[in-house]
Amino acid sequence: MIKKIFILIIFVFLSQFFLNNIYTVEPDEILKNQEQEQRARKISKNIRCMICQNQSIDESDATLAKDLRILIREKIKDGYNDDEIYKFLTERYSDFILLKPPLKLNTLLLWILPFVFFTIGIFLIFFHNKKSRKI
Amino acid sequence: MTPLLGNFSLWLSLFFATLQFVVSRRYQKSKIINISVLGLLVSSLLSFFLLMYSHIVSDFNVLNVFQNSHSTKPLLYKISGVWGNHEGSMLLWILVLTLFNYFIIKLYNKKNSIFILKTLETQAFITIGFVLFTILTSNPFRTTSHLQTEGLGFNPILQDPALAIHPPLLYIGYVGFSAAFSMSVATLSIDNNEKISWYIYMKPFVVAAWTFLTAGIALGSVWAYYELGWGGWWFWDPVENASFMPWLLGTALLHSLIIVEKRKSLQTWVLLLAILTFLLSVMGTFLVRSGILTSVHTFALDPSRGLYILLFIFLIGVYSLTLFGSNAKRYFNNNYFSFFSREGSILVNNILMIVVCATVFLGTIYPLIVEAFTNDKISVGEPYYNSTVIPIMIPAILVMGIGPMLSWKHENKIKIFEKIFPSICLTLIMTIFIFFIYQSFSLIGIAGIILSFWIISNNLIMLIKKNQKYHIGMIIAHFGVGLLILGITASSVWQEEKIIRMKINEKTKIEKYSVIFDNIEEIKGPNYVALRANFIVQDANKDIITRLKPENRFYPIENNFTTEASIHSNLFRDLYIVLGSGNSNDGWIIKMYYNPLVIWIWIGAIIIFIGGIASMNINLRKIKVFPQ
Repeated sequence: MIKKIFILIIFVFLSQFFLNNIYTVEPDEILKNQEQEQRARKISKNIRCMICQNQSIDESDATLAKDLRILIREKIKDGYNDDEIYKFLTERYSDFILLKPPLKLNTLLLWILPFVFFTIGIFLIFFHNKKSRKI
Repeated sequence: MTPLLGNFSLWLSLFFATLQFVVSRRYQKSKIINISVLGLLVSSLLSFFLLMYSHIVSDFNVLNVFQNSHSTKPLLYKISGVWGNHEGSMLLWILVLTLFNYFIIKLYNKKNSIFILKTLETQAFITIGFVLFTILTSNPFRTTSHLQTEGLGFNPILQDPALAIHPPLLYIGYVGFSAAFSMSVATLSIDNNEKISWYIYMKPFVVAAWTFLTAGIALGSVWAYYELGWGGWWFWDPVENASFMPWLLGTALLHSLIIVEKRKSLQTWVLLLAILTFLLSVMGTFLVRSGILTSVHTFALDPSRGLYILLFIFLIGVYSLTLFGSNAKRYFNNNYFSFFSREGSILVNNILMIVVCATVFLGTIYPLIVEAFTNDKISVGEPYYNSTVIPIMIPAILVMGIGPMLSWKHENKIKIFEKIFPSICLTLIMTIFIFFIYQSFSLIGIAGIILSFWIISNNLIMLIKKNQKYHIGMIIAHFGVGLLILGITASSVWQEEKIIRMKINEKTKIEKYSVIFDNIEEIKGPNYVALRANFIVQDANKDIITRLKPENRFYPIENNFTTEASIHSNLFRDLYIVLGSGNSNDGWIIKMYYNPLVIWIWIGAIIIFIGGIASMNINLRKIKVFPQ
C-alpha cells in the first residue's frame, strides 16, 4: 500500500516535469487567427524535431520542438511569409531541420534519380515491347 | 545451467548447418541430410525455447533477460520480450530459417533431387551465416558478471499485443524470401540438361513470404496508429522502409512468377528478382540492426554487427549475382507478348514497383551518403516520400485494376475498352456518391477514391463473370487493396483534429459528436500506474454512443511515460482521443481525431492476407500434382 502511494506520488510529481507528454501542438500555443494557425501547422509538419528520430515538430513532445512551434507562430504574427520562416530556420539550424530537403548541389541526386529510375523503367518497357514484337 | 545449454544448442545448430551444407553438395539424398535438417530444426527450437524459458522464469543471470525484462512484466510480454530485442530476434530469425529448411526437404522426390539438394545447400550456407553472426556478435546466452536479482525492464511502448506478434510475421516474410533466393541459386547452378520447373516450387514460398510480410507490416501500422497517439499509422520511418522495400520487390517477384508459370517468359528476370528480394531483406536487417540509421557515427561506435552483416550480404550477393551473370542466359526465353496483354500489365507494374523501391532506398540511405562524404546532415522525411512515391503508385494502381482482365499474349484495344467500360461507370458513380457524402474536394482525395473504386469494381466484375476463370486468391487480395486505398485516402484527406484544454464536466464537439469530460481517475496496472480520463460521447440526438477512456501511463521501472489512445471504431469512422498533461485547475490537454473510414485499412489488410493464404494453398497443390 505504501509502495503504491509512493509510486503515485512520484507519478504525479514527475508528470509535472513531463508536462508536454502529449504528442503535438498544445492548446495554449494555437493562434486565434485560423488562417495563421493553418500556416503554422503546415510549416511545423515540414520541420524536423532535431533531437528526435524522424519526427516533425508538429508531432513531437520535446521542449525544443515546442519552442520552435512557438517561434514559428511568433514569426507568422510578425508578418513573415513562409519562405522567410524556412530561411530563418535553416540559417539557424542548417538544412537538417527540413524534412523535405531543398534542391541543392548535395541533394541533386536525391531529387533527380527517381525521375531517372522512372525514365529507365519506361524505356525498358518499350524496349521489351519492341523486341518481343520482332520475334 | 540454461545459458550453458543455450550455447550448446547454438553450436549444435552450427554443426548441423555445416553438416547439411557439406552433405547436400554430394547430389544424392542420404540419411545424413534428413538427420541434419531435423537436427537443425530441433537445435534451433531448443535454443529459442531455452531463451524463452529464461525470460519466463526471469533468470536475470542471463544478460539478455536482465537487460530486457523485469519480474513484474506480464507473461505475454515476457514471451514477446524474447524477440523484442536484437539478440533474441536473431534466434527467431534462425528458427524460421530452419522451419523453411524443413519445408523444403519435404518437397524432395526423385525427379527434383538435384534442385532440392542444391537449394538445401544454399539454405544451409545462409543458416551458417546467421548462426555464426549470433554466436560471434549477438549471443543471447551471455551471462551477467554479477548476480542480479531484478531486470532493467522492457521499453513500455513495445509492451503491446500487436507488437508481440508483429516480428514473427515479419520474419516469416523476410526469411521466406530466402527460400526463393536459394531456389534461384539452385536453378542457376544446375546443369543445362537438368532443367526443371523451378518456378512451381518457388511460387508457394514467395506467396507465403509476401502474405506474412504484408500482415507483419499491417500489424506494425495498427500498433503505430493506436500507440503513438497522433492518429497516423505510417511515418516513412527508416525502420518501416526496411520492411517496405522487400515488400515492393516481393510484390514484383510474386506477379512475374505468374508470367513464368503461364508463358515461360521472363525467367531470367524472375531469377534476378528472387536474388535481389532476399538481399534487400538482409539489407533491411543491416539498416535496422547496425544503428547506422541514427547516424553514421552511431554505427562507428560498435561496427562489429554492421560489418558482419555487410560482409555477409557482400558474400552472398557477389556469389549469386556472378552465378546469375554467367548462367542466366540459358533461361533466356523471350516469348512474344504485347504491351496490351496480361503479361504486359504485370511487367509494367513490376517496373513501377522497382522504381518505387529504388526511390525509397535512395531516400533511406541518402542522408547517410551525404553525411559520410560531406559531413552535412540532411533529413529525408515524409514530404519527400509523399511527393515521389505517390505519383509513381498512381499509374501502377490504374494498371493493377485492368491487368488481370486482359488476355495473355495480346489484347485487342477495342475489347479492352469493352471489358473495362462497366467498371469505369461503376467507379464514376461510386466516386460521385462518396463526394456527395463528404463534400470536400482535393486532388489527392479524388485520385485516391477513383483508384480505390476502380480496383473494387474491376474485381467485383471479375467475381461475377463466370465465363473466364480468374484466380480466386488474386481477386480477394486485389479487392483488399481497393479497400485499403479507400481507407488510406479517406482517413488522410477527411481527418478532423481538435486540440483543446478541457476541465472536468466540460463539453466539446467534433464532427456531429458531443464529447463530455466526465472524470479522471488513477488506476494501477500490473507494471504501471496511470491516469485514466473518462469521456462520454453523444451523437446528435444526445444518445450515448460510447465511453472513451484514454490513459496516460507511467512505468516506474523503465521511468517512462506512454499514452494509450482510446478509440471507438465503426465502419464509417474512428473517434480517437488522447489524454495529455494537465491538472484539475487548468484542465487537461485533450487531443481528438475524427478519422473517416480508417477501419477499411485494416479490413483491407485482413482481406489481402486471406487472399494470400488462398493463393498459397492453390500453389502448394500445384507442386503435389506436378512432378509425378
